[in-house]
Amino acid sequence: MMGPGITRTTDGLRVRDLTVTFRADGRDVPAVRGLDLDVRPGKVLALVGESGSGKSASVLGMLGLLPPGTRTTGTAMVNGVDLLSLSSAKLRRRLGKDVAIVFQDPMTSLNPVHTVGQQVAEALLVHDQGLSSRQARARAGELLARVGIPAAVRRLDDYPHQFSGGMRQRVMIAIALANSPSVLVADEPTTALDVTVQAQILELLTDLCREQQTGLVLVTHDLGVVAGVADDVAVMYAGRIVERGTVDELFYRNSHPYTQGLLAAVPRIDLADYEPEPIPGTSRSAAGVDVGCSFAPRCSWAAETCLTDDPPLQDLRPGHGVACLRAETVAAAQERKSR
Amino acid sequence: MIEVSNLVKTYPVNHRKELTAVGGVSFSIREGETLALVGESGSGKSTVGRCLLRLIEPTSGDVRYRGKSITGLSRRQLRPLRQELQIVFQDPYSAIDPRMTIEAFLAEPMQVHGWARPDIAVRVTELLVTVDLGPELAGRYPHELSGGQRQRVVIARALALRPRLLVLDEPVAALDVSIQAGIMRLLSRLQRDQGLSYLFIAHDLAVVRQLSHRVAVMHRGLIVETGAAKDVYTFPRHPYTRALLSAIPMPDPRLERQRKRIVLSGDPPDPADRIEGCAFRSRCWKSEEDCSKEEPTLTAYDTPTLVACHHPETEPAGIGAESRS
Repeated sequence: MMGPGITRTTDGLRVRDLTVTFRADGRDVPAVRGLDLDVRPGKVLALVGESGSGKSASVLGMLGLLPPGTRTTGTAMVNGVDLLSLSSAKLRRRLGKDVAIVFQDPMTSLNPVHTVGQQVAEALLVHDQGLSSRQARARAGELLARVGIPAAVRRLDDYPHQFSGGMRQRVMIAIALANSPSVLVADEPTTALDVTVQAQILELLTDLCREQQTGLVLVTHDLGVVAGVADDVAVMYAGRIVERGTVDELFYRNSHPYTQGLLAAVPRIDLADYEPEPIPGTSRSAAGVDVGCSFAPRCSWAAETCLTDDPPLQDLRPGHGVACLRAETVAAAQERKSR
Repeated sequence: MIEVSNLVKTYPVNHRKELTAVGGVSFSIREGETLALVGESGSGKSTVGRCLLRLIEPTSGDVRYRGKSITGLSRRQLRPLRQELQIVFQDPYSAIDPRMTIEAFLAEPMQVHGWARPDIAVRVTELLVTVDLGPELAGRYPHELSGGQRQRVVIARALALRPRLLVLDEPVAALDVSIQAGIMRLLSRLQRDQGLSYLFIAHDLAVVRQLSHRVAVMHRGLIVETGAAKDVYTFPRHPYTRALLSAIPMPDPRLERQRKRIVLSGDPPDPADRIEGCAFRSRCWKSEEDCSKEEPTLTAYDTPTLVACHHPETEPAGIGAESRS
């Protein structure tokens, strides 16, 4: 990690036309269909969706982390390099240095038979052959202190099982940010943690990323988390982005019926008589989509054309894109309602 | 209707140490009422739910159903009561035997209790309709159903023997948010229509807000605050309740920016460690010397909730329960 005051020149992450196709039972099963994403340096982009929306497949795909047999096409540019064009050996050298990832479950992400100090030091040594093991250990201690582990240097020789879930996730963040990557992907990083610990970890993650100008892709299903930490938001449904924009545009001027449905379904801690609204029907993955809008079967706004025509993701306003044939009508209704 | 007094459950860790999962918990649930039992992982909330149905044998304490103690009953004596007390677990994927049709899964409890075959057939259809599923689902297998549909099937089975109380152990925690709302509505309607009582176990105070009449907050095996839902949500007095409420993010960026969130420092203490005094004190911003000496017990102050704290908060909570002190 860089010290404060150091800035970096980077354009963040630029993903274009990403598709991910799995192979199952001899058939092609699409998971992501033509995804464009821009992650700005030092900003938080929340990638929101429910199970099966393709949000995890998207981020794993753009980092080349999907198993063999999966077909990934498109481009994912970081620091002038397209990650998807690299051989696996070259990609490995980029991972951790240009882009890093933190997963949901800190229990299985750490190696149980190595000390935490060894694992953080290893992350440093992989990308810096000039570092001595003593230097790496010292840096590991600094990194653990940086992510808020009390008595960090003393804990270098402890094993993962001696840490709590929240502390393990801190270790994972230290490893991920060890080489000051341009982009960090965090896939549901707090979902496995208790709610009081979740707040601490999110704060740590976003503070560190802002400080060192790392662009953060936060994959989450929790719209409360999004409202609290995101700068930009992209909502996914059935393998596509259906709406994207700044966090305020998405929460206050949303124009896709799915985004609206998702927001209306969230229970509220601050409203006594608020009854969350379910979205009718069953959510579908990209696999079940042939023609038309994938949300149309559950959509109260759906018209005839929605069942036959593909809605392109178009800017309704500068920087606010919506993939809905009826976006303008939906937006007008939303304006009236909020007035 | 059900009354729990001084329920304790301990587990041996090794020959010297003992883990207290539940350290003396008392509450009651009335007819047609929902008590939300809320806490983080390891707080003992699920253990309480299981002890209530004697799926786990409590170490000590008493559970009375309609005035009659059920803790001393033999398995056989317990059997008629099993019809009236049922449980719904979190994960609808592992709850249903994948080789069973939905019909067979729903019929099983009625077969065990000796129902006649025609009665069972009628009841299966009735149950599917009650949980808003089409009767044509009877012949399907669980893998053909979505998560939300499965949880409806699990709820239908819990209703098969016409219970009076359901223990709902995080029934929507594994479901997508757009599906959760539908299940919560269903539970609310079932309660209204059938006068059911619920013990709703949850880690998320937002999810249970609309359904709960009363709330009990658990921390490390003890209830630290309890009262009517509106009081617990708007004027929580225990610092831990405030921290829990404050930690829940709200889907509103402007409100989120205004909030002064209470961020607890440190981790929850290890459940196997013995702590003198208040178990929350290591993470509490209000703790003083007396907190390490004497364990606080549930006490009525001049506000409506009961709270186990030597230094309870004195002002109502702001948005999302931020402390104003």
